[in-house]
Amino acid sequence: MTFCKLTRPRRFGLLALFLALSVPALSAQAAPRKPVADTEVLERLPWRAGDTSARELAALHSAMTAAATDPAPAAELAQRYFDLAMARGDPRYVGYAEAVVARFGEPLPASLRSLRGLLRQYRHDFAGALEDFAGALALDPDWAAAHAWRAAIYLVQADYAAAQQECDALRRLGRSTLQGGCAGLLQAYTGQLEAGYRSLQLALATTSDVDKRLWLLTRLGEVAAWRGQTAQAEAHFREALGLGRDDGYLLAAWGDFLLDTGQPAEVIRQLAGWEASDSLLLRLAEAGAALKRPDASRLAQLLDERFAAARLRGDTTHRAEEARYRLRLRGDAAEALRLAGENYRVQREPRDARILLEAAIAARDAASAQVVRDWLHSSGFEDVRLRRLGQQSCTAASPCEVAPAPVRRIA
Amino acid sequence: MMLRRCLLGLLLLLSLPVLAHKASDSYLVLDIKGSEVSGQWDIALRDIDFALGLDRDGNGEITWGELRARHADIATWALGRLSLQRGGACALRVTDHLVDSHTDGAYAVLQLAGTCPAASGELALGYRLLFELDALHRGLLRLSLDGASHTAVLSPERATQGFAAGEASRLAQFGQYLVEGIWHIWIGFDHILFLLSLLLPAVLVHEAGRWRGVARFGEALREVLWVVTAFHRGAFDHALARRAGAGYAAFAAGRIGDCGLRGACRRQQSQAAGRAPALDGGLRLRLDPWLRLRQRAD
Repeated sequence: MTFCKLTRPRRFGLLALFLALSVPALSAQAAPRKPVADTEVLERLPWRAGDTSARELAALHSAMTAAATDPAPAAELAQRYFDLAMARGDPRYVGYAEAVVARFGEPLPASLRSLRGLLRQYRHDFAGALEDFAGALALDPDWAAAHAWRAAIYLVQADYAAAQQECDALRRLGRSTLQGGCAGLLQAYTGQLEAGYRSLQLALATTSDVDKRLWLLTRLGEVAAWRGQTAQAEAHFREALGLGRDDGYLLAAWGDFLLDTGQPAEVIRQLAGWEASDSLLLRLAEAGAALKRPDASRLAQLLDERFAAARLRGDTTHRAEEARYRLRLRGDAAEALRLAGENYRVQREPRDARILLEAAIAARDAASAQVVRDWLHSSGFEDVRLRRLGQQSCTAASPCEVAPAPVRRIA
Repeated sequence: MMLRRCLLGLLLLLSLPVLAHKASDSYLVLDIKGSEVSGQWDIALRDIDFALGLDRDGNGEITWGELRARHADIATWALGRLSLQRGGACALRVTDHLVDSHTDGAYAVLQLAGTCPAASGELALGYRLLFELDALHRGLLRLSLDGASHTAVLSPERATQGFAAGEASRLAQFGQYLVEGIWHIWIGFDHILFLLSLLLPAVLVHEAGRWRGVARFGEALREVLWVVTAFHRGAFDHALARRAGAGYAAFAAGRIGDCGLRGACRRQQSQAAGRAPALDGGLRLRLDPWLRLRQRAD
């Protein structure tokens, strides 16, 4: 509390008061009521002072309705909605984008087909998304975004041969930044962290676009961290943050880096004010628990309620995060393992592998982690931490072996 | 002075809950007994604004005055997107407009009443609120049909759903209540201990500085009956009072009736009251970096 200094007994008195007040405050909120004053502000709409996006969206919307059969303004509006959802972590915009695409009947033009693929992958409907991207490419073989997205999905599914084909397609189309990002990540995921790092750096040198630089710097930070080059990783993350764009993925990766390098206090500082975004709330709650802060249990409870509300909607796209929450904040290894296992059937990136290994170790269930050890073996992924977890997960099982990887020291 | 500033700070903290980003949900509670329909429908102001435009002065804030001015439009808009059929179309109307807060902000609360042509048979429900604007919108339905509970998630893919009338006999319902009641008391250790502490004086008498058992069985039985009856009457009143207050709150958690004597209910209520937000897209952002590498943006 920065706004007041209190002696100890008073602080306890206030704490008691806070607790006493918070219960009625919560229940008062629960009951529907009829406001008295017409001037009472009930809701603030989600744009900030000086924010031009509302006007922009309104202009795009009227352009779309003015040309009801023209897919171009619709595609632009849907893309803008999706961008907003990603920047702010607000899924309502994804729903808006989907509704815009749904105004058009089949067959969709390449732009809308590709967009629908984007929205389908958001829902983790990877098969549907791949189909849409293939459809977009059939209509327009130069549609580079479709190749890039297919590569991204194949990387998530750990289908590296298929991802390689998409990288090759991007090279043929002469898209150097996209191709560099694609190839760099593919190398990083398949046992060539150093080469991957270099490819990403080369791709970075090809572009001055802020969004692309932010993305490449974020991934460079992750790859450097896997290589154990902590200082370099931090420099990349900080450069990305310095670009001054809201980006949920960057903040989540940055939060994980800070947690992994034992800087939970920094997580609290850097992610302050981002509790509305669930992925960032998870990082804040982990940091709060590590620091034994008084509000740690409140944050965990908040997360619990959000997972419950997602279940109410029938939403299952967040299992990796819920597994992490179960394991690290609730100590429920069995449930964490179940969730991490279900997630791994759909998503197989290093972070998905890691939570499955951690849950399997905590639950002393070597067999459940076999899929990850197989992946470590076949991909040759070099992250020292993950390989060590792989070893730990198999002490109880036999035969159980993780292929040796070059030993690196963590800087 | 300083204390006052701190108190002010605390009150501000209390009045500013963290609003989660979540996909759009509306909460629809319907109670249908025979041909009579009553219910409540909570719809986010942000969603109504997106569909109808509530912020008349365009300052980014929605006031009660701005909302009140549009009550009739909101009722027409919402009821035009909800249909109930029982032996034909049920006539629905909005009896009152209130507001409430959920995790992701303020909601308009539409109180509903109506009648259906038939007092029995299957109920068909059609829901298409916001679907043409927000394909991720969901209607979260909790329905009581002749006393039998149903829940459903209404989506563009499952916008029309049928519910079989509650065929549970009164005896079966009584049996269900009995089992739930016994279970409810059994899992509350405090219930048992409290009852025991009330019952001990019924069978023990303090006399000449020591405890002894009562002389006759009838004496003990009468005392026990009094205590148990009073206890349960008290518990029943308590549950009723809570039920009246909890009302809608218990809806989402589906735990109506489990808010008896123990504190466990409070959390469920606050969660059910909608402060439990859903997940935002943040968790699904893993692919988003690719987004920036859009076609022809190189």
